[in-house]
Amino acid sequence: MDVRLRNNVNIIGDGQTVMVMAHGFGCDQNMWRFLTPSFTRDYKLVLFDLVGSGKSDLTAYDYKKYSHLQGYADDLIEIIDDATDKPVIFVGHSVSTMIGLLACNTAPEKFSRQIMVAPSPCYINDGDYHGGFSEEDIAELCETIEGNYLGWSSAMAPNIMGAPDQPELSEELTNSFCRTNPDIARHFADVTFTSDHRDELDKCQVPSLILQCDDDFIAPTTVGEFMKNTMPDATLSIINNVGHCPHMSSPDQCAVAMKRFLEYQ
Amino acid sequence: MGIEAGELLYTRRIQDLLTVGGRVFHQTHWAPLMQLQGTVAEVQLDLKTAQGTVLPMLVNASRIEFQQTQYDQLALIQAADRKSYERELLKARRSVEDSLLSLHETQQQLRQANEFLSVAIRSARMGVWSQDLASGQVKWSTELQMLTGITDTSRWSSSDAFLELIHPDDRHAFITELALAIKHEADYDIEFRLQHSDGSWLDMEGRGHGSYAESGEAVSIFGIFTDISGRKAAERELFELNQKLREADKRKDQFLATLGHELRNPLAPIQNVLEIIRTKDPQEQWMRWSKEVIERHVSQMTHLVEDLMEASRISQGRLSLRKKKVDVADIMQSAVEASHGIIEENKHHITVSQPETPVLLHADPTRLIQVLSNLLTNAAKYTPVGGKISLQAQVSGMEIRFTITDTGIGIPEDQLSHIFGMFSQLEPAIERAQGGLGIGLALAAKLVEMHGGSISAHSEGIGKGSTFTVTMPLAEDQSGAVTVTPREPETVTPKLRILVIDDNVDAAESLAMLFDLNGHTTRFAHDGASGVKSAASFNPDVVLSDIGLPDISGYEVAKALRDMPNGHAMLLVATTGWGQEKDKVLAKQAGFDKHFTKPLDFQALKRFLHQHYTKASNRPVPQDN
Repeated sequence: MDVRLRNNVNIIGDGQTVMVMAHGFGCDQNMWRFLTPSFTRDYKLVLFDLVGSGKSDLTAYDYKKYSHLQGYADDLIEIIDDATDKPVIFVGHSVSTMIGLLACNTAPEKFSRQIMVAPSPCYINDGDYHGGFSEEDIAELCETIEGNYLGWSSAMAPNIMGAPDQPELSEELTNSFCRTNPDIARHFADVTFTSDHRDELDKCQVPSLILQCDDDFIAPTTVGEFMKNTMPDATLSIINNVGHCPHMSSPDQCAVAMKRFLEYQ
Repeated sequence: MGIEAGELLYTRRIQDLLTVGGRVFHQTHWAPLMQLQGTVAEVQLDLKTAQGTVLPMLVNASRIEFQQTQYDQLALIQAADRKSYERELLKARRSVEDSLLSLHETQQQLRQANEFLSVAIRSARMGVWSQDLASGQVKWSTELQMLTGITDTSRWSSSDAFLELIHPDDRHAFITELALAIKHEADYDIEFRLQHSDGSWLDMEGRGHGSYAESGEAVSIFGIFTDISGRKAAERELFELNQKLREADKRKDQFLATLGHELRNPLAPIQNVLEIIRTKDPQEQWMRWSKEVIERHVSQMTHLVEDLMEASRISQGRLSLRKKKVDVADIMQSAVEASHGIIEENKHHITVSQPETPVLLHADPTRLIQVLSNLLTNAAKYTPVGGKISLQAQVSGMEIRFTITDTGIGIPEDQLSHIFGMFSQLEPAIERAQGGLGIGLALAAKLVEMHGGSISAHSEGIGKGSTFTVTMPLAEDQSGAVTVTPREPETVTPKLRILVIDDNVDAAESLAMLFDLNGHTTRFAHDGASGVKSAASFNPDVVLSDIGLPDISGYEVAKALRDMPNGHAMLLVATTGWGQEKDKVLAKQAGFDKHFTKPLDFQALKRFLHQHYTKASNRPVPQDN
């Protein structure tokens, strides 16, 4: 299995230091397009799609392997090995922050820095821990993901539109950046939002930056506080941003915070 | 939604209207999409109404910039209907896929079943054919092609070509049978010969029927042809074997009949000579002893030959019963008398128990006596010297049961079932001192059966004696019995002139001598012509003539005699060895008054002559010499 094909790996940038960027739950590597211009001059950026998302090889989606985020972490290590033999800076968004965390704990020597954009080790409230969601919320979320036609639309939308021989008509409707197979989307949502990686946090020796939005419904600031307090070497930086995707809606703030972290360390 | 516009403007964010799942989706999908492509199409989200219920909506959104401010325009469509349509569509698609799959599986199974069927049809040497009645086109299954070795479609596809392959002698019947089946909407079943590619003819059996349109019109006919060449060959072989067997059986019967006849002829003069000796009671002791020995053995021999004759009469279907009303007591007495010799000889003690009152049967007395005497003889034969034999008769309802019991060697159980078969004897015969042909019991069984009765044997085993039981129906009317053995009155027969014609010189001369000794005047001749000649000069009262003479037949002799001036007054008696009903009829037609079967029973003959000539009208005309 060719790693680059499997994960639709794209490498851009003129620098020597390798920065690997992993997209979060929902869309694909296109999410990075507002942030990457700030780093292409000094870094070599390795972009990829998680298996099951974007233009990855859907046939490589193994329900058993990806029933735990470790499956994706193992993929990440293979991508890094394929790109360089030196430690890399890893930038992860949303669920990928936990994938990065697992990879750092698995092979810490391959990571020099870790930048976590809107991370959450556990989405479900648990005693004093405030993850932001009840179990019922997560169940409802999974329904919503399954009920949307973003995924299977690539196969079904042309038929539903009654023009199977004109696929371009449906292109606009398919929300192409976020499409995937509905079964995989459902499975991925289930694995992501029911995971609990709080126990992994204090094992991480890689210097980490937590980029936390001040108004993120999915990853509340309490989560950022919890992580900073739990991780041995973590810096918390709050971004003034509404939503879960600061690298898209506030890319400049993110870039400034990231560069400061990278230079300071 | 149940929400006033005023409640929303500048106070609520769009995501506030969404459920939790919707809000996450908004964050993870919608917002990035809006930023990346400026539009979001056909996203399905649940919106919360003012009442707190959930309303599924399809959302289309696009982002526009107006006076340096970005606006998101949203179009919300209630999605319930569309969603359900799409679900239906999906369901329909799945169901089509499922049925396609099941169709595929069914076709697969059908193909497999067809393969099995084809194997079965081939191994049964069958083939299927059909004909479209409108076009006349004929179709053959692959199996039929393999069976006939004919694979060129043109050899059968047209009606004419197909009929060419049917044997010319069978073609007409084939066409007729099929036409009849079509007409009557019936199955046809026909045997015919079908040509093989190598030119040989296969014996076929065709079965099938027509198929009809709704209007009732026949549209096609089809059927299964089965190669029955093997069966036919076996049938032919079996038929030939059967024919040979029947032929052999017939020859055996003829042989037995001839054997009986040929054995009986020499017995006649011996018996006559014995009669002669009887009239001259020998004085010498050794001569008397010799006479007795000969008498005993001739009687035994006569008995055997009679059995043999009876057996062949039965197997040739020539045995007929002369039934009359007879008293059981008479029958029993005669049967005991008939077997007296052998019982005496073996020093057996016999007890006879008859019904106290007369009981009448409708039976042939001779045959019934034969049955009982055969069973008594059998008992005497298979019982060691000094044994006990009993003959009992008991009436039960409308039946009479004769029981013959002995203290003899008994019958092994495994042989009980076939002792009534022709020529069967106990094997290994434990005691063969008495010999025999194995006919007696078979004859008895057959005769009982002809009388509508039944016979059975019972034995406790070897050494424990045997019991034979004969059951016969009683006569419905129990009055008016015919006496079986009338006591012979003292005969005073007039002196007669008797001519004996027989090519068996000893038989003729000994018979003539017997009559001489009885005071009659006799002549004899050894062929027909000299017989007729002798009659002309001798002018006999009685002529005894054999039928099978060397020159002319006895029938011709009779005609010649009747043509003589005194011919009508003569008493003509035919003597034959065959004793068939046909012979008797022929003898009567030729002019004979009476028929006697050889060997002649001299006493019976004497009786007949006495009866005839004691009637006044039949007195012979006195002769001068």
